Amino acid sequence: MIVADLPVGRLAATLAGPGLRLRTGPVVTRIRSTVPEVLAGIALHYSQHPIEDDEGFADFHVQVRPPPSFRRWVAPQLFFDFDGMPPFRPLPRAQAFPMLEWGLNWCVSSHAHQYLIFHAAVVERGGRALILPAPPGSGKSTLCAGLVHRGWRLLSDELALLEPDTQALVPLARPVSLKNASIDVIRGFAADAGLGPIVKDTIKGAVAHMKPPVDSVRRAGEKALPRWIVWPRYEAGTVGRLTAWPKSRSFMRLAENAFNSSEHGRSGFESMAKLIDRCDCFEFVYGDLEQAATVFAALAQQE
Amino acid sequence: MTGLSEDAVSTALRSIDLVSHYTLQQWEALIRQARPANVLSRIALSVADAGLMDRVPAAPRAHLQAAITVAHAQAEAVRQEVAHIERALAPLATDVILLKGAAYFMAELPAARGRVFSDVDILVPRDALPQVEAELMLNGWATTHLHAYDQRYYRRWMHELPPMLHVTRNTVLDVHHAILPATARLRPDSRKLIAASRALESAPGLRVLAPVDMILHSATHLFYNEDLSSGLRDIADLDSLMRGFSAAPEFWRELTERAAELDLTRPLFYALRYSARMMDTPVAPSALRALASAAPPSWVVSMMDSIYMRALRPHHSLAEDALTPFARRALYVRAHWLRMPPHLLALHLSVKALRREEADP
Amino acid sequence: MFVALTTPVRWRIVAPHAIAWREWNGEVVVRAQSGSVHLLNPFASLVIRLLIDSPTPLSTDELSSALQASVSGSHLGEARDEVDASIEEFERLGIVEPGPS
Repeated sequence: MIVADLPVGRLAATLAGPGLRLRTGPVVTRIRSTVPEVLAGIALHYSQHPIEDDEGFADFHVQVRPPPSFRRWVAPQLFFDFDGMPPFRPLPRAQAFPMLEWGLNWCVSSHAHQYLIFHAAVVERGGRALILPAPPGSGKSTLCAGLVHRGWRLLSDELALLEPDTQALVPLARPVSLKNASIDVIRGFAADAGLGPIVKDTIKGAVAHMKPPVDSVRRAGEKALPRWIVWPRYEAGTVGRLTAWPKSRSFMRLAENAFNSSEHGRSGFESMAKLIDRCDCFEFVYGDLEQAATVFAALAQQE
Repeated sequence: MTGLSEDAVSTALRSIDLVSHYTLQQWEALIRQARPANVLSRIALSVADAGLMDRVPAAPRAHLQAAITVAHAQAEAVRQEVAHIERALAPLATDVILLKGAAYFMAELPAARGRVFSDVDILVPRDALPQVEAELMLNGWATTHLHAYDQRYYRRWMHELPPMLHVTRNTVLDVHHAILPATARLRPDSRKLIAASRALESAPGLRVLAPVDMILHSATHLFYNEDLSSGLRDIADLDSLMRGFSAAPEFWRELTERAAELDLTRPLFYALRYSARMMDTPVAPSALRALASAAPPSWVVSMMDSIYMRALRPHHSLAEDALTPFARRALYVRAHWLRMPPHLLALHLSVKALRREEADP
Repeated sequence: MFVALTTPVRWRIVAPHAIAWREWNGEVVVRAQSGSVHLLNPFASLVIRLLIDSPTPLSTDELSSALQASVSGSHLGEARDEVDASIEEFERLGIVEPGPS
């Protein structure tokens, strides 16, 4: 059963009551909320995602809820609870759906230490995965959102989950978060992009989420072996060009983007080294999304 | 106990074999409660040690494996931190005794298995405190809690320096000179604890408490503390320590005699009682008899039972009933009462309340 | 006849099982015991490789000669400077320690 199979009324009642057990790749999150923006966001962005039944195992139990105080109504705020405890400060009610998404990221990056976790987007084509690590503002999410509408499968736009033993990357296939100017770029780039409402004044500026392509969601059980690591940088007016980067420096850059390297200790170093061994590493400066897509299509053709 | 079902976490800690038949729902409930109780890594390693990992379904197994990964990293971090502390304090040639988790770990006791550490605690002679603080500061530790009130609270009233934070490693070191504050009603003699301590083979510059003292310290820390978020973990520690040390022939007698000598029979009474209840610790009947005279009136014991059997459970909605919040609040006041005289207590609590309001956005 | 009054310090890798390292394109990436990772310049990379590969501790003289031999066009003074700088940094990071002479 997928989310779209539930009539909206049932979906609302499930979220408000026992909680919706939503599957995103290997992760099942039980989500509870009475907030309408959360309901709408899930109905739109997660319509194709599987729902698990109550007899199964949910990895995380979260809730997006108003505070018990007057801030429920006056300048209304919401909390994200992880199993009854809020790990971060409340946010204005208008940011309900982004808050859920950030919270779901936090659940994984704080607990899923069976993986080596990097702050990076991951897409796949022809059985080989492309990792796009980048600090915020580098255009990684825009590039990721663009590529998944030009022949690439989405694994994740924020969290690269690497199995240390197999070196396989594990998908989540969750919505892609876009900021500010990227929102319009993607709107122009893919007519059926499935963009949600724009939420203004967040700590990252204006934010909107893009629905993950149906194919990516359907194949969320399919891992992929990494082949390329590319550090993107958007620079208006430039023609997209891949520049090979030395592996020693690529390792250091990748280490900067690792969420949980200290948890993995020495074996984490070895796993990261193996990843660098098997991947071609590049820097990519680009000014036009369509042209960028052709560069990556050519990369995917190479053996 | 009405309204509370068998506690899932202590059940698993007591009898790890049971988990080989767990349903997904039972795993879900166990993991959710074990996490805030700080014993998920411990349970995970118990499962691994018992050779049961293959029987765990894939989804919960991932959480156990993640917890084991974290435990290994923690162990390495503690090892290194203890090495830094040993190096820093070596020039002083004073007795430095590791306490609690770091001690269990360096002494390679089972209680250290799967431990999640936050700070390292050490005990030093009271006269050595200024030099210890100075030497630590030379080596990169800085004092915290700079609010003047807190500094006084720690130094004058409590039994420790304000926590020391290492400026580059971001680790916390708590330096104690006694195991209870000078203002507390009980006055166990730290010099006796230090005199009975043993040097560590793996780190000769550092020492650990004698076995019975380790147990008494753990019991005192647990039953004189308001923060029981690790209460179940501490009971599991006590159970592990007692099972391990009770192999020695005169252990129970030494334990109760030492408790009497240090005036810690009351916390030991509770420790034995709740450890036996929650973890089935095989406490020798002779020990229970020896402590019978230290027990409070039976109505107090009943009240403590209903408070502690709630408060020692995991801090999670699945482990609670309607009375749990009251139980916790009762303990908060009790713990402070035991540590500070009433007139100081009222002052401290009101200052704490004020500060919390200041901190709100 | 003057005889050296002190024996030179010999250096070795601290706990070789605990250090992790890899080399790509002539540059070594090393993980110190604390978990921090460091990219070494080509000279420091050579120095650490010499220490890793040597079964016995090495003095700065021995390291300097070996370094000078490996890098064409360099002379001993430069090599000496590079070795001193590298050893100082490695010691600070807890990667090397004085070994028995």
